[in-house]
Amino acid sequence: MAAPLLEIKDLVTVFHTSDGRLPAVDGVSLSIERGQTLGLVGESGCGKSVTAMSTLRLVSSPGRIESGSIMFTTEGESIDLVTTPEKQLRQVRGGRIGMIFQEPMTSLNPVFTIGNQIAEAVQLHRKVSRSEARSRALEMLHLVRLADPEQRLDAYPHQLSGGMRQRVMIAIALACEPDLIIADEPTTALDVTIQAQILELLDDLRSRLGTAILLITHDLGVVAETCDDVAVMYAGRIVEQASAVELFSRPLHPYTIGLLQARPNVDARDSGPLETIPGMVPPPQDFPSGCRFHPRCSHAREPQCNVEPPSLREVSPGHFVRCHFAEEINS
Amino acid sequence: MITYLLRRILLGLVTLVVITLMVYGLARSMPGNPLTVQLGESDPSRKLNPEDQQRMLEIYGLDKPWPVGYVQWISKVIQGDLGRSITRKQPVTQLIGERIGPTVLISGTALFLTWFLAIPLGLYASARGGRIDERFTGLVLYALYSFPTFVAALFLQIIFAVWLRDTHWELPLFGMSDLSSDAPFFARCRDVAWHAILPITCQTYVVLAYNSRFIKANLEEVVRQDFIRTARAKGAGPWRVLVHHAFRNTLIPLVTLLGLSLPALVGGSVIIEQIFTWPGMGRLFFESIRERDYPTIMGLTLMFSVLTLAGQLLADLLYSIVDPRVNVE
Repeated sequence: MAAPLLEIKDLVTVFHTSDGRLPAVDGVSLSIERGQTLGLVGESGCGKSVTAMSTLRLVSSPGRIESGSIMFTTEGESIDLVTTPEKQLRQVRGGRIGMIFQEPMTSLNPVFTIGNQIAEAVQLHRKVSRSEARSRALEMLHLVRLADPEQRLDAYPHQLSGGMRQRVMIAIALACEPDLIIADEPTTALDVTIQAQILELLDDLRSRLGTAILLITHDLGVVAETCDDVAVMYAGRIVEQASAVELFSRPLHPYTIGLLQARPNVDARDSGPLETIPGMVPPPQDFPSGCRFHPRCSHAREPQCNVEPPSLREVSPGHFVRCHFAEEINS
Repeated sequence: MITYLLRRILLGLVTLVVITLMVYGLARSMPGNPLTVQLGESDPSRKLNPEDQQRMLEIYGLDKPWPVGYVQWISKVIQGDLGRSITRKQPVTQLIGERIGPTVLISGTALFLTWFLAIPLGLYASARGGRIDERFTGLVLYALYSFPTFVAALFLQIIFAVWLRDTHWELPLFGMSDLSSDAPFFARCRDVAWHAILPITCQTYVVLAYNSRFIKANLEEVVRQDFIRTARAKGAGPWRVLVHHAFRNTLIPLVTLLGLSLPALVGGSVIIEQIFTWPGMGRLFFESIRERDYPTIMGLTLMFSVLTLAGQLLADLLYSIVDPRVNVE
């Protein structure tokens, strides 16, 4: 079997602050196959964005990847993005892996035209002339279905709406036909109708270009619509991983179950107030002992849950869960 | 654009009237007048008798209250006449014409050096932020920034004109030239350049220290923005991120700073020109105030005010070039 496109193994990213060593990502393993969409889900502060940033080594100081490997395989060649020299990594950034960020309003440089910013991505990775890069930029604007691409090519970011800017960000990320796109909450800052359009666009581009997507989101609805596989993250660790169909029909981890119950259900209009998970995601300096979810878990049992950290185990083929009592809870 | 310019110019004219009115009022309210200050203090025997003094005040129009004097002055200015210096017996425009060259020589060179060095220094400081070498240069720049020019000038004079006297490193103590006006042109140029080194050094270092720190602080602000992360995610190298993406965004505050340096270009430094006995505008301003030479004070005030306002207008127009979000319409 060929190596997956991206395989993250035991990634540990820590922040050294005055509060000490904070492991925002604490032993995360993920893998994405070519042309697949993997959803990485979790509440704010669970470490999903840091995982995304670590993939391209964009975590800024005082954050640092402490251990683990990120194997990226294209054209039969594997490189470890954690250890590869900066120069080679720059060819991967924007070239083989594109990235889309949460804030389209601030993610584009305000003093350059959008055509210029897309063309830059092309010129950084391909030996093309200025005009070739510009026509590629125009082509990309057509591809992401921005209205009036010819006029918009010379527009500045402030002249576009949030949804249009996110289309431009997608155009930048896709300009060099990457194998993988990392989309870090690409729709969070947009209103709902625009969200749907952007997701549809991403999904369409994936099926047409065969680009794999790592979709980072806190929105399970988004995952259900677009992802092949899902990983649920809690307090710096993956707590459950399965195919989207499996996860939604048979969630095993109490946290996943809680997340699913916390969604509004249109079919049951009078089902009363929404379920919530009590408490909040603990910050890295306050990670509890044992299972990190046990203080918020209604099934937690002493002394096991508060002492012994559960390992991620495969309970059925392709379905991984990090809970001592997953089977019991669900039987 | 045209209406914007017209509005700004009209507003500028109002500002000019307010500034000159205040300065004229203050100058005329200082004790003494050109006649008493000039003659009476140095040699009592040359003091004018009261009748002569009265007659001369009438000739200069100083016998009436100052608001009347101001109206007379400004109506002449509108006709393009800045008047004659009372103490130097020559037209104010001619006086300014003689002094502006030496000042621009010093401040122009200093301004050029400041920006020429401050931008690379700022970029360097930002790129190497926090490392040992950057901390050291940062410390040196901070020390320079806090070191008063007049003290530095005196030290430089002691070092280069006294201690290093009769060596290759000797520099002139003061003045602009030791040669007579019939010396060969190139020899005179060399001599003036020789004399200008210390004053230029003094005028450069403080502004350089300030500007490079300003650039660094602004770069550090910009580097934290989201679009810098986007640039890095595109695969841009650290140098390209810093110069192309970050520095381009710091031009906006830099334009303000540049606009503010326009009046200083011809205004010169009173302190430095005084210490080095440099025949420039700063010294002329200082002397004209001491001599209560109202027409010269006012002529210089007018010029500095016009340049200050022009510098601000220029900066505002440049904003719309460096920042596409700004539209002067």
